[in-house]
Amino acid sequence: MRLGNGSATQQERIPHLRPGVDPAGLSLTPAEGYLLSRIDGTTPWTLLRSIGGIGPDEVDRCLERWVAEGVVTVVVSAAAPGAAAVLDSSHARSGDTDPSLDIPVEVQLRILDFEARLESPYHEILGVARDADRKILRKAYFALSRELHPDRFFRRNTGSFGKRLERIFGKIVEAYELLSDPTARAEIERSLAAAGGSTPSAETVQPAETAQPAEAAAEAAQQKPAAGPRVPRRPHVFSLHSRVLRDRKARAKRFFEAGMASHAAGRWVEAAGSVRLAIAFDPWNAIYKEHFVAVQRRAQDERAQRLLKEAESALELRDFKVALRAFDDAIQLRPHDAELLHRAAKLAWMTGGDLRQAKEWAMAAVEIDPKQGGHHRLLGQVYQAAGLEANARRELEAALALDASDEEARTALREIGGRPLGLRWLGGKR
Amino acid sequence: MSRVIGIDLGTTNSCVAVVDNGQPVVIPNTGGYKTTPSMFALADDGKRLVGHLAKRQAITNARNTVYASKRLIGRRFDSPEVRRALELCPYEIVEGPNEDPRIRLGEKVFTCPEIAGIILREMKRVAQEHLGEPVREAVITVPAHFNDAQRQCTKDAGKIAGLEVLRIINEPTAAALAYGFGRKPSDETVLVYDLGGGTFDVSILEMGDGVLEVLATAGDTFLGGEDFDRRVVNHLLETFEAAEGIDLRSEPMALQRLKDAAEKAKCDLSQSLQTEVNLPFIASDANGPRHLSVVLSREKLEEIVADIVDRTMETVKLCLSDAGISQQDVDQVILVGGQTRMPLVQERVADFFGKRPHKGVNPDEVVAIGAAIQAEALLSEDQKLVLLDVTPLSLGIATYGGHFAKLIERNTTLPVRRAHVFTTTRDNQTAVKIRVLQGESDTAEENDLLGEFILSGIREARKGEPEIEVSFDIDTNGIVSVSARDLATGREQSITVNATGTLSDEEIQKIIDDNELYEIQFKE
Ligand SMILES: Nc1ncnc2c1ncn2[C@@H]1O[C@H](COP(=O)(O)OP(=O)(O)OP(=O)(O)O)[C@@H](O)[C@H]1O
Ligand SMILES: [Mg+2]
Repeated sequence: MRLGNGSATQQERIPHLRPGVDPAGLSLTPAEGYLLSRIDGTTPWTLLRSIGGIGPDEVDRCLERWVAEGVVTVVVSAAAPGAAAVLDSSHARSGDTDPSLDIPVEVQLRILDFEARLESPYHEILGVARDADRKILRKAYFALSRELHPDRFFRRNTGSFGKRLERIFGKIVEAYELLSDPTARAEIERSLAAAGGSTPSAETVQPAETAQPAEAAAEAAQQKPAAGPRVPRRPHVFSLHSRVLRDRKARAKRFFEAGMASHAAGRWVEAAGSVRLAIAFDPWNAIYKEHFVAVQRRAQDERAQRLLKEAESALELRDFKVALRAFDDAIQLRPHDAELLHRAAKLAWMTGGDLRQAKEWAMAAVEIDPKQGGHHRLLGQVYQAAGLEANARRELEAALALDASDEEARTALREIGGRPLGLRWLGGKR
Repeated sequence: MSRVIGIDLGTTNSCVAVVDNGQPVVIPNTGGYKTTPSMFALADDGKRLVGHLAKRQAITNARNTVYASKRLIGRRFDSPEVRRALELCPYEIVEGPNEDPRIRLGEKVFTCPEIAGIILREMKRVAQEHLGEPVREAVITVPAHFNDAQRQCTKDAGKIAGLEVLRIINEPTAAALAYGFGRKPSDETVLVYDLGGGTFDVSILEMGDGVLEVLATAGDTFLGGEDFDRRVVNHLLETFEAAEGIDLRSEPMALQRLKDAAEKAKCDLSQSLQTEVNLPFIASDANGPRHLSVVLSREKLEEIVADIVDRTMETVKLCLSDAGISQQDVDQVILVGGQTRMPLVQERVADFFGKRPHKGVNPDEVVAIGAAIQAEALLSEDQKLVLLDVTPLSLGIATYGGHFAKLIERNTTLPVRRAHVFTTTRDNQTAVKIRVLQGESDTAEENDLLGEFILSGIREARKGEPEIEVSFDIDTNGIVSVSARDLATGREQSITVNATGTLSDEEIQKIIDDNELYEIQFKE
């Protein structure tokens, strides 16, 4: 899809710590630990790059890794105040409450808290023990429905909470249905055990029978028929779920295998796409996730490379619009590549493209690599074209200060009536 | 705050209720009846008649009297249901610009939502007159197996009637709500068997703790009391033809009289074992006028409709298996709909479940009462009741080779949102067309087409590379919506929707304006 007029670069990317992540559980170097401690949900990525003790490239690498690992989510907030587009809303802060809404603040907090835990294991979502029986599941499900069903706040002014409640309720239903399904539940148990180490106890599925002393168990076995066919509550639905589950797993596996093949062939974009689909179909599989992290970065590189090639050939054909679009796409993937930003800005400026966009790019290049006189010169030239002479002068002077032999900067400065740095001192007429 | 009403918009009869001082009550119309015929007519002098007034003149004005239009609403003109109605209805059905069936009365062509809107407006009027205050909001019921388009059209009908529709709920669910009202909270599994004039639904629910959870629902699209009537009409036609040698099938007036007489005989036979159908001067030929006079026994009636009743029991079994329970697990069976007054229906149900159906509810009123209870519950401060309903039909898309890929299975709890990732099948493809369907067949063609969506502006790339996430939502009304997002950039993808059978906002507004105009004329 066509990217809008560079809106992404006019926005700030703010890393957030994912709620529920315990930093103690990660293995970090002291420098990384320091960086992690600076992530407070308000400091933008660009600022984090300038914290001392750890270089900007290292910051980028860490943050990107953490994003891929799911430790950190990035929220893009528009430069316009107030408009914060949350890319991943699964973070909760008490700052998100809003007393003007038609939901009591304590209920809002409860909702935020619940939302922050949506990725927890299903039994935790329902707030029941891992070996809870069907009756307890149902009770918990009904109680949560009464508490958090979107209808409870029908017609009220719920702000962002309406959407949250929908997400939450969807998850509650999912948890209830899957835990009610013996096959799905066994599957969940296995992945929990794989992830957390603890093996499920034998009584997980049928607590009543194995937990009882021998005589009582014999009695229970006799009573069982009297309880009737009620025991498997929704076999059809169960079989539906387990069928769907099996189907999903099979598909996940197929995608993963395709991903591995692409990986072996060095086609990273394809590999990442396939593995991502595998995860979409089987989100519990830790191996898929691990693999995804590995291929994702290289995929982005590959994609960026491909986009740059596209830009080159477009430039050869003098199709500047296509080239600019390719640059724009590439910048999305490599937001910290000063060289790339410079080229894109220069192209936009020289071909009479969007000057605001050119300015943003040039500024980003300056910010990333402030010791490069060329970036300052370009920014100055863009300002000049936009008629912002004071700014232009400042940047062109900075360029000359870094590289006195920059004739292009000198000429530009002359054009706007400013004198090159050296001359001013010598002339001294003012 | 003004009062909210619950409306049961039935195929043959409609009913309105309200919660008054915490007690749900049915509102009688001016004639003192608790239900109003879902009929609309354009009289010779151009007057519009609704309800009993329309029914009274139906025989003499068959071509301009609309009944059972609920069977047409939200369907495509080329659907089998509409084709069947084309053969049977004395009024004229024409194809509208949205491939929807419309009804021509005199000069004017009415859309189905418009007809439903006129009936809803009448129900609103009944309520307003009784309550002595304006009514602006309502909960309206639909058969559980109604699809997205049928629900959307019903909602539009509410709008046309000047009502804000708080919620569309399923008729059997409403019945269960009414049954549960005021009962001591205890866990119960309830099966609702709803056989009305034009539709048949079964729903299985679990209730307890202020929560009503629908486990499964199943229905038969084209089955209701009118099918019983049709069997009786056929029987009368054949008997008459055998005796008099005259085929009445091409006589609209005679047919209308036969239809009324058949229904009356059918209802009589719920009370008595035998009845007589007398239609003097039904026809005439060279030998003078002919009279129809046939004696019909309950036994004969049961014989000619037995297979219809059997069909309903098949649907009951399907629903049980979807809910994953057996008939012994059902604690209560609730009969809803006028046709369940037939002793044969009651016997079959009692035999199957091994217990008598619940006696405490009025089959004609229970649905409207449930709607009123739900309206009240939605707006009350301390939400004491939550309804967890399901989608009756699987939702999915047409895939390569004309297959149907289900994305949301039927009987999934609402509201629900499912996201799926789509990609391109050709290099540099910039648009993808997605056909959204509802139904159970594996063949796309055999399901109901809800609409076509075109995702456009996809970044040019190698095939299979773009990842576009399409989200399918079904809200608590059972109404579907779709949105899309480019995963690489997180940006919303533009979607063009071509919904079939439903009206655009402009069309609805135009109808509202037309009707307003008419209202003013009428009052002068
Ligand atoms: N005593 C009776 N015995 C048999 N059938 C009856 C009796 N009374 C009414 N019916 C039939 O019940 C049907 C109407 O039922 P009802 O009013 O519940 O339907 P509806 O709500 O209008 O339609 P639907 O719910 O299908 O949209 C008609 O076919 C009518 O003939
Ligand atoms: Mg009905």
